[in-house]
Amino acid sequence: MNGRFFRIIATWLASLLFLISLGNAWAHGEPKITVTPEVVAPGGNLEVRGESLTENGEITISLQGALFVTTLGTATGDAEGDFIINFIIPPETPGGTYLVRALGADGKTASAQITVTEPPPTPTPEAAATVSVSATPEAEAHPEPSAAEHQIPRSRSTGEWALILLGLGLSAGVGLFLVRTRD
Amino acid sequence: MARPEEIQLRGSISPTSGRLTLWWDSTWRGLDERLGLSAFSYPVPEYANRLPYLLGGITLMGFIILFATGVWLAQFYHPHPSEAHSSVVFIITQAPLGDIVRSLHYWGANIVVLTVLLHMMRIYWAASYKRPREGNWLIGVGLLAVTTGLIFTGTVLKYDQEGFEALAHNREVANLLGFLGSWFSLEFSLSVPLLTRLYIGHITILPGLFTLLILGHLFLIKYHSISPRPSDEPAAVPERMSRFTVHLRRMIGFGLLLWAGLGVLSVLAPAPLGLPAVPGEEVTKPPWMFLWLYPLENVWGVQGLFYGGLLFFALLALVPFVDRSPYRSPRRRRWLLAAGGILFLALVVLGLYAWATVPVAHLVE
Repeated sequence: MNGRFFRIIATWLASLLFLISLGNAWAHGEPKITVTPEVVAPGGNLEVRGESLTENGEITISLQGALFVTTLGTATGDAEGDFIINFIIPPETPGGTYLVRALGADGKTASAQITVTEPPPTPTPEAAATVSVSATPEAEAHPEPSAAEHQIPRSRSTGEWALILLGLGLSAGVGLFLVRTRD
Repeated sequence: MARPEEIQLRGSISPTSGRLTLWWDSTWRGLDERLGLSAFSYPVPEYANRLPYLLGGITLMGFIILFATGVWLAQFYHPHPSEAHSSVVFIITQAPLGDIVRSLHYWGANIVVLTVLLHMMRIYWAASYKRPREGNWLIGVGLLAVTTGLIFTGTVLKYDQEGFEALAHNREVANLLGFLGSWFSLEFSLSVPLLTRLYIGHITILPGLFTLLILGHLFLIKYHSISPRPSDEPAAVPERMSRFTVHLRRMIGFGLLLWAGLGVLSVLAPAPLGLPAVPGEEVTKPPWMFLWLYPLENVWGVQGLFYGGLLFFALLALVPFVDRSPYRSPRRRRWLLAAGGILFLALVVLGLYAWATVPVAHLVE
């Protein structure tokens, strides 16, 4: 009787804990930050948007990588703990994956992942002089999301065509033979 | 696969073919003694060699094609956010046979989803999930879940706008799951991007799970034998029997025809690739097999997406436990078949609705 009672209690407690954890996950107002862009070059601009962090308080934004950690700066949350701020990724930042972490004065924290690309090689004066402009600076700086297909030239050599046709013919021929052969 | 004694009979036509036959006979005996190949010649009902009962085997052939093409693509794909899209462009434009192999992989994945669904419908129609095959039905549902995971991660990997938005959905579902979704969170690993971890999932974790499940699936098919016909009347005449080697031969034959069909599709309609991902407004829709979830997300947000999928798999898993009657005949299971038909119709209608409407922004981040 006692064993059964304790098993029931334990099951209820486990269910309760599970529901509490789910409830936490569902709850609105979880601190969160969004970074744009997610892939950025050293020296590039990074926009950090925060929600539901420290209300009317200071929030420290840091960049944390496996080999490089730095503080980007501080932001101030509004009455709801939201903020938008721009930072420059330090030019000396090595390429790699980083967490951008926002830590509020009250301990609320949120993070997002970015990739910092390898720093570009310093161009020689000759190379810099031959750079051609293929798009307007505005379009390069603020591209819009698009569902359009990437137009890529797809060409095949004669050898590739021969291999493809041989493969198709063999597969179809042997396949038909195996399927149609009587028991 | 001819039996040695058959070959020996046919081989007595001329001295040359007789020698050849003797050589083949001894080679076969040697191989069979060491590898036990004749064990594959066990009896199976003749109806198992018909197309509806070969759909599972054809799906398996499709997965073998996906594995082979996937290994080739892995030689050229770079699973890093800053390189992924450009490496797919490289595969299309410069890698040897890259475009055709990628297209085979893409079309293979699409066709495999279709054959899996047809296979499950055949099992549902024929009540092949009934005792003692409930466990194998559940393994099949698990295989469908793994297939879904493979399609999803594969969509993300190309890292175009569609892949990027799929990844963003993945992160939102992970947030919803809290601790249970921590593997999908950015914080799980500081040194490896989420895209790279999903790639690991696509090429090791999910195929590993698939292998374990398919081994269990095949074992249970052999253990319980091919499921009976969907009839409750005792057979007037004994069931005509065939051999598994015939079943296997037709399975491989259909697999090769599938390969050829995929090749034609790949040449006529190469696998698409979207533009490089740009964060911002959500502008794409998911691949067709996930489209039915899209209207649910329109209404209930990411919770609709997650719980809609969960409900679908829960309903599938419950089938053998809801239908406890001893009947296999579709005539005596009308209500269950009607329920399955309504669910299928609902998924199709939701999918068509999502296809016809303009994309809606769901993402919070």
